[in-house]
Amino acid sequence: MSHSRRLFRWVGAHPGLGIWLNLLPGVASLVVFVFAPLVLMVFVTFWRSSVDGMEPIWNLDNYRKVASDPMFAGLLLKSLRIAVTVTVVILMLAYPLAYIIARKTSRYKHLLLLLVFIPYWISYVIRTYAWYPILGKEGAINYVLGALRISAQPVELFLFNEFSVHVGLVSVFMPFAVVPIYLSLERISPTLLEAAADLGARPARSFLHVVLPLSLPGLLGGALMVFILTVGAYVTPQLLGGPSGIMLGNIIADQFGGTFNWTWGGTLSLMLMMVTLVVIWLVSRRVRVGQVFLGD
Amino acid sequence: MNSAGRSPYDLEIRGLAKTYGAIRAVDGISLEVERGEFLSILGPSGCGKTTTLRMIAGFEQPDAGEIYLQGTQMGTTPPYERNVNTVFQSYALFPHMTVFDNIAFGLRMKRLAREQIARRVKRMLTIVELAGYEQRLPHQLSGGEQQRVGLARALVKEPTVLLLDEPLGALDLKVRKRMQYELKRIHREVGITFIYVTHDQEEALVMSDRIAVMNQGRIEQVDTTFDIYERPQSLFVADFIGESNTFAGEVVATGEDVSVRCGERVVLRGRPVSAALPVGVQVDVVVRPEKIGMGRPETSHAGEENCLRGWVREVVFQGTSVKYVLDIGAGNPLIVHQQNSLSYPQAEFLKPGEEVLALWRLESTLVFPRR
Ligand SMILES: Nc1ncnc2c1ncn2[C@@H]1O[C@H](COP(=O)(O)OP(=O)(O)OP(=O)(O)O)[C@@H](O)[C@H]1O
Ligand SMILES: [Mg+2]
Repeated sequence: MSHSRRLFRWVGAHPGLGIWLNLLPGVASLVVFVFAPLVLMVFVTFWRSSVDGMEPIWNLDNYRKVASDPMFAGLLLKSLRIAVTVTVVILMLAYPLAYIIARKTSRYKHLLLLLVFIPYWISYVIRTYAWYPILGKEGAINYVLGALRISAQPVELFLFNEFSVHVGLVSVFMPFAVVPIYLSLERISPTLLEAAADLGARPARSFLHVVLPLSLPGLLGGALMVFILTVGAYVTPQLLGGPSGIMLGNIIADQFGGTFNWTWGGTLSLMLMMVTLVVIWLVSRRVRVGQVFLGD
Repeated sequence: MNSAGRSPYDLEIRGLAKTYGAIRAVDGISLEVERGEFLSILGPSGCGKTTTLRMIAGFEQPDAGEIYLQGTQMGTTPPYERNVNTVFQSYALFPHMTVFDNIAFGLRMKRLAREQIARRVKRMLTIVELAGYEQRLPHQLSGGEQQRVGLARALVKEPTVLLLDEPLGALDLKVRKRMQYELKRIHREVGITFIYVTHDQEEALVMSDRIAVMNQGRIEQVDTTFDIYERPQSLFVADFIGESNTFAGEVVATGEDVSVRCGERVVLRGRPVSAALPVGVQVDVVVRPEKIGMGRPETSHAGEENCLRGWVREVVFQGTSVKYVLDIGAGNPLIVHQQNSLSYPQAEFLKPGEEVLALWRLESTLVFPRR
């Protein structure tokens, strides 16, 4: 009792300390749940996998494998390629959508924004499975193609390949780009557009010189978000990819689930993280990343 | 010489009207503005000034009426094709562009040559006294500086008419006074027609060649600043511009001038502003506080047709002038402004309770029929 009282008094006499005490729970949970696992993961990449998990035998085998294994390089490039394509496609779809919503002045504006998110009340996995009856051999597209007599036989072009992975990823991650773009468009004062028109800018040029540059933080932020989510994706490629649509994320998951090679899985994860960090760094040289996620 | 584009007016407005739902924001206004003129649109909040300006700029389509720029009918011409530029109250500078790029924007839209743009922007920066600020971003400027960039950005296009919507509204008093002076100088220097919206009557008087006084979507009066102040055509204008004493009364004698009974004992003599007023008509009498002189009650006075006995109720020292509030028994108290021309040790003002004579000329007494 008197101990705790003395403690309180001591804290009261050192006001600078209060801040640190307030931060303590947050810092502690960050250390336990983020920092420690990360350090552990880095350690593990220098260990050796064994039948019953890992042995702390220090070596560089995993890094030799990274350098020499053509499958890793190929898969990483493929994942990057898919992530870039998906990001570009999403931006091309999300920008006009966000633009339309932001330019609406009616009270339906927020309803529209909500509509973008409604599919997200359904589980990611179920939404992904929903592509089976659309893209599959007996799916909607094949039905329409057959009905229009465009193809006599059902085509197996649409599911279990890279195409379906792209489709799935685009549909799953699109709202993550719509929101930051919407927020940055929303912040552009209509008076600026009037000023541009007043100074002789036709709508297209006003868009190019005023709207686009001012929404660039949202655009880059959305791109970054989608890219990070896509490059490490593994559920979508697992469900929709088939053998040819596999991404790096699937191989990583495999090391922990099927193959039971944790140290190799950790190494692959670390590589993926490095690539992601480089991309974040590149983008953050153009916009402040905090601005992207916090909207200011 | 009477083809379109040879009009003597830079701007002509005929029967312009705009309704928002049930609100008649602008209710049929007509106006002619001569080349190089500085015309202010003055009126209380919500009287339709901004709406009028927005229709001239092309941001709003009028429900009725026409706008002509140098004789060319504007119709549905979009803003980017009108040779009119606007200075916004909120400045509306492009936040991602430097001062130079902001000012160059309009010229780039015209696809002028790079050297020509640089030359004209530089000249404009000199005029608004912002040379050396080219590479700053808007958020690195003070309010007054931002407004000058907004002005330069619009002026550099050399529009037929420059529209300014309360451009100094967001500035503090001191900066505003300096900018008023700057704007006048710039107006003289560039010789472009200025349409200046304000609800500050003092600002309008200081800056304008002519003033259009608006009220509830209509123009009450358009005149030179002198005539607006000295010969207001309605009680609204007399009341809105400058300070005034207003007394309600009834015409008791009529002729070239009229006598009006205000209250029990007071009869004022004045000039009807418009048509002759028959006996028995309800009127409002207006006298400006600075037109009234004061004398000792024992002295006799000729010359001033209005001579009233009163008592000092309040004395307010205002620095350059002294404000007296007199009781004259005409309903409202009478406010009198006297120049503070006293030199220090003998400074002696009237004191509350003293008896005085309030004196003013017939010509200073405006009589408006009650609407
Ligand atoms: N977009 C609009 N929708 C509905 N009503 C409007 C709109 N714009 C203006 N009004 C109304 O029209 C009237 C005139 O507005 P306007 O902005 O022209 O006034 P103002 O003279 O510029 O006033 P202030 O001095 O306050 O700027 C006001 O009653 C206003 O509420
Ligand atoms: Mg206004």
